[in-house]
Amino acid sequence: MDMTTTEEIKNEEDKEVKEEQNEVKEEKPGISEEGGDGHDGGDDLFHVDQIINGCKCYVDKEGKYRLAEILSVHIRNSKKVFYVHYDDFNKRLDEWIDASRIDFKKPIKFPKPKTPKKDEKKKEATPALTNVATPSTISSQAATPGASANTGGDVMDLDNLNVQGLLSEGEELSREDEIKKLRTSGSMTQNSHEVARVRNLSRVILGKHEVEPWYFSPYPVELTDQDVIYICDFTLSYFGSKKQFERFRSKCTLRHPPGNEIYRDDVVSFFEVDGRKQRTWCRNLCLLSKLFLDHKTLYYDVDPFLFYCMTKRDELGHHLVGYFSKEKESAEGYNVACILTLPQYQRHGYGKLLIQFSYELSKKEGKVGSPEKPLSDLGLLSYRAYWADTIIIFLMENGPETSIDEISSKTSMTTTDILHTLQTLNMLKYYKGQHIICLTDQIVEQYEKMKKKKRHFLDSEKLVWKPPVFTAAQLRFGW
Amino acid sequence: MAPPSSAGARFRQRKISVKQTLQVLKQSDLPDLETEDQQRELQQIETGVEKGEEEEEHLQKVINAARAKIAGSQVEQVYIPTPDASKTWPEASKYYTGTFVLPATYIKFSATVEDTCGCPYNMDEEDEIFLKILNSSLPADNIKLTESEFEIISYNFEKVINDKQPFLETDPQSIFSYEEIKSYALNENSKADIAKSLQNELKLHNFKTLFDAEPIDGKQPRILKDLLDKYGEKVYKHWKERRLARNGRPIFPALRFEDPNENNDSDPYICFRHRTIRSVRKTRKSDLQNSESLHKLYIELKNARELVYMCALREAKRYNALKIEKNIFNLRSQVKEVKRKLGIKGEEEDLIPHKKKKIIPPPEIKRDEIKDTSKPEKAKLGRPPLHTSNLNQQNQVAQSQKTDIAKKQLLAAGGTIQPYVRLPTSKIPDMDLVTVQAILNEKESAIVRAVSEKLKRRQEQDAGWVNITDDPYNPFFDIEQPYRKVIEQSNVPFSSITTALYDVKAAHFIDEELSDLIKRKECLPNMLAFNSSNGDLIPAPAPEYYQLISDEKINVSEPIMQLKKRIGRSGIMYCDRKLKRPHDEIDEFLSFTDSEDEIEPQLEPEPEPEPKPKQRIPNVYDCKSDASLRLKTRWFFDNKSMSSIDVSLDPSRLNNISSQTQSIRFGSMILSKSLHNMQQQYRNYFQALHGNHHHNNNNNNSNSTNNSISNGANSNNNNNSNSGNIVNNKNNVPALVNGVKK
Repeated sequence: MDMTTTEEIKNEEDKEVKEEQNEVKEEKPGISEEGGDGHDGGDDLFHVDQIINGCKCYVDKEGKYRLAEILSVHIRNSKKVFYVHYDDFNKRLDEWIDASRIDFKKPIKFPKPKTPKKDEKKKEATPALTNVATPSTISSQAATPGASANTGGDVMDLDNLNVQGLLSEGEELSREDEIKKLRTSGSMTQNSHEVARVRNLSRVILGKHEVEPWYFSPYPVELTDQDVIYICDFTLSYFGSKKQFERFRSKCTLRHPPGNEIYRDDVVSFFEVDGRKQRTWCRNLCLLSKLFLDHKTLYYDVDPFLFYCMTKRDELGHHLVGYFSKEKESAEGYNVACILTLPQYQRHGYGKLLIQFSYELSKKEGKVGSPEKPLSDLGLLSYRAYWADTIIIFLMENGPETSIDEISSKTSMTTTDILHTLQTLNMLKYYKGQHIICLTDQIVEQYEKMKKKKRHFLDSEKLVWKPPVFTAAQLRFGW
Repeated sequence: MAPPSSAGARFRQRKISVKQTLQVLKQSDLPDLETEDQQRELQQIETGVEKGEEEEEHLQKVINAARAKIAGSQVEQVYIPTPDASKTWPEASKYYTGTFVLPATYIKFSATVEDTCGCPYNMDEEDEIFLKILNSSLPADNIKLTESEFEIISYNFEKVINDKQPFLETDPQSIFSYEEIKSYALNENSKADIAKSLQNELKLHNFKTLFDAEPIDGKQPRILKDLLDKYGEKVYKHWKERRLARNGRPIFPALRFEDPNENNDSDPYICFRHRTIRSVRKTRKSDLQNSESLHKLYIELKNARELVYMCALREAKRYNALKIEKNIFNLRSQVKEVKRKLGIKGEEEDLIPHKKKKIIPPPEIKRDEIKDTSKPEKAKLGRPPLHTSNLNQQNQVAQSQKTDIAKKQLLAAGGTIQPYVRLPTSKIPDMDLVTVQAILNEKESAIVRAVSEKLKRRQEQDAGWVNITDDPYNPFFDIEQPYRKVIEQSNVPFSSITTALYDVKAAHFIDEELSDLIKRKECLPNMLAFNSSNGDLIPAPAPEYYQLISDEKINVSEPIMQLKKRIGRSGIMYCDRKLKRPHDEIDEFLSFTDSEDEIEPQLEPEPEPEPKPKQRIPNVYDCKSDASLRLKTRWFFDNKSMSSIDVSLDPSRLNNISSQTQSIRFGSMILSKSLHNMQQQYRNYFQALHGNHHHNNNNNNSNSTNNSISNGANSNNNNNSNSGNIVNNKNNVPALVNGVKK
């Protein structure tokens, strides 16, 4: 079937399902009476066998019943298990459950049959598509905030800060258009395939850590049968067999990311790895990071990206803590494509270091930059925190006057991101007929707290790096 | 996206310029800050998260908490829940061993994962069981197949199939037989596996790189050929089973890349597609260029490879040499042991490593001579020392004989002794003996040639022109100076150039004292000449003196014409002539020149200048006296400067040449020049005299020239002597006007 339509139908359906939330689909109790699995079928509204992909029912999540969509049904040990996605929860909390957690007393909602709506949808979709078919206009106004600040368009509408370069509602990017766009730039996907909605690995051993994957990742499909996947801490190679992993480890001599170290301090190091030169390693890295990044796409190869990998040293070598990828040539002024702190290192402040590093690189390049959109929830929070800290420090430690442009040139942040942050922090005020930046009491307090904490900051002196230059041939996509 | 209107919008500017200067003020300093629309402010901020996810419960919780905090309320820290990642794997230390040495400098690294991970085949549990069975089935005395060796074999099988049968999965039964696969695996010409081909080419067993790990059991795996011979067939059987069980696909699953024949955009397991762009149809020219550059690249890479290969070869040789040396050392120490045991003394040099001698292939011609010279040496060395009453004399003799033999061998091999070669007289090369005389002659004639050449060239340049300028290229021979000032001679520079500073003046300007001397034919003070017989410096004989021009003042007419040089348009040079005399004067002039034109060859030392009988004023253009007047003033001033230069009289100080040589040089130079000029002028004079039948107007005036050129109208016969405005060496031809083209 044509991808575009299914995707769109999917989206439409979601909406409709929401609208219909109160329409209770009554099921004949007679059928559910036969329901097994230890359920007393007395007042069950439906039977376990009726549960199919796409239907929604209430599932016990941490003591509360939540509406959840069934994404997959399997039979494990002759029992049915269901892969569920909870409404209004991030996909990373999707999980396999058995029937015992399903509330049969609350109504089930089935997906609308697709066939009658198909033509209608197509008609509706066409205008939206034409809108999208000229991505250049969209991206130029939306996604190059840095550029717009410099090209005379330095007046920005505070009500319509198009911070994110996202498409507005109704402007849904078709799969085909997205692939077309990805061919030339970017690493994010906004749509995901049906299969890819179900997490395919259950346990990953990475170095000495045991980690639960969050999302689907296209590791060889044969590996998904394994209970656990072994991933080499240094090469990021993956094995379903422990013996293989053991043999591999006995031969492997790599002890750090296979690139040049460009930063080193007491806590971390950064390595620059070229996707074109280290194809295997970078592919491994992408596969691994896809486990924890929802919107990352692996549709295309790693050639056009540089990977900046943050490591922590010990007597075994440099262990990967997190990384961000960066397009060698970003048409839209992004300084980060994908960014990830590995789950076992999260909530230790490494994310901020990664973000800081990305801006240090932009400073060296003399450019402003912004991360590629969409951000994930965690990404948004990390970036907001970094932006807030940076701006607060700048404002507290500099003179009584500044301009958005000045902050931008000192921090390499785009003017849109700065305005966005100032608004989020409620610092942009209107006073006596003028805009001012107001250091609220909370901000001053936050600044003082930050100073006390003695957070680790990267030292730009220790960055030994020149912006790499690529020839046209090196940037060409194919070989 | 945000709804544009709300309460605050009415009185608030909603646009902001990024260039606008904003004041940064503390809230505490602004008591009157309006806070009414803060609420509104808090609602409309886009996040950058995908719309569907933006509404997620946990994210909203955190965002709200952050908002509340900014608004000033106390909230506890909220996190977005994530799956568990805190567990550690207790077995990790079994698999991660060794220590990492942190280099002092930043790491630079370009090896790939494949480079650093040894054999790409990693056996799994199934292989492990097979290997155990295989090893237990072997006869007890056989060496067991190690895991590394098993992997090498399996890897080679996989590789051959991947290279030669990449589409095996379409027909798994067509899989190579063991014989086929073995022959391919052992094919030494295969360049695909660099390590293997290098191993073969360099004849190095177990070619290893820096990135290859030490084998766990410490044993290097055996050569593939041995392995295949011994275990190949059994491993093949096992391997084939596994491969067929996978329907011909590689035993271990790999990532799935795109299949160009299928539309598989939707398959989420296919990843890392090439970002190909539709290729534009290319013209032939660019194809050609591409193929050329590819060819160039190929050659360059080949050269680089060759270079590296040679280096590797050299290192391999060096490695062997070191091995041999080590062996020798071991043998020596054994010899030492034996000698010590048996109490043998002497012959210690066997135990010392001989210094390596550089072997220089000698030039072939000398070989005979070397042999010749070596003979007496040998004889001498061969003779035992007669009067040495040494205890172990015999031993010494033996030793010296030994060294002798060694030397002989060395010499025979073209050794390093460089003999002194005496050339027989017959081999002294023939050379022309050059006498000083010849060189001097040559020099002299060269000078003469150069000067005459210059004169000739000048004449050629002047051909067609009447040169009536002050003759610049005739030397003048008025000698004066520098006897007035006496300076310390040693301080005075001497050079051939300064000798020319002897003031040579027109004869009639010689000062009183000097002219007196000359008239009396006495030697001039301080003037030295070279004695022609022996080259000594002697007082110079008095110069001959010809008075050619009188000092008499003459009235001359106004110029009959004026010439003006100007540069016209496009750089053309014009010579404007403006006649300025009445008509009758010209006629007079014409007739006058005819009659007046004469030359007076004054050879007498003192010609009596006679006043011109004619009463009329001579025309300015043929009046030499006017010119001489001008010259006189000129020389007068010029001499001033020249007379101040002092010159050493000792020419030998120049270039440390002996005074004699110096005298000869300068003497001959000056003499030849003056002689030449003199000859030339006489020749010209006589030519003029005989060629033109002008009668001699006796001493009508003191003009020494026949120069009658005055204007174009009267240029026929008289001007044939343009090449030689007859001048003798004591006079200069005065000029009247610039040359006029005939």
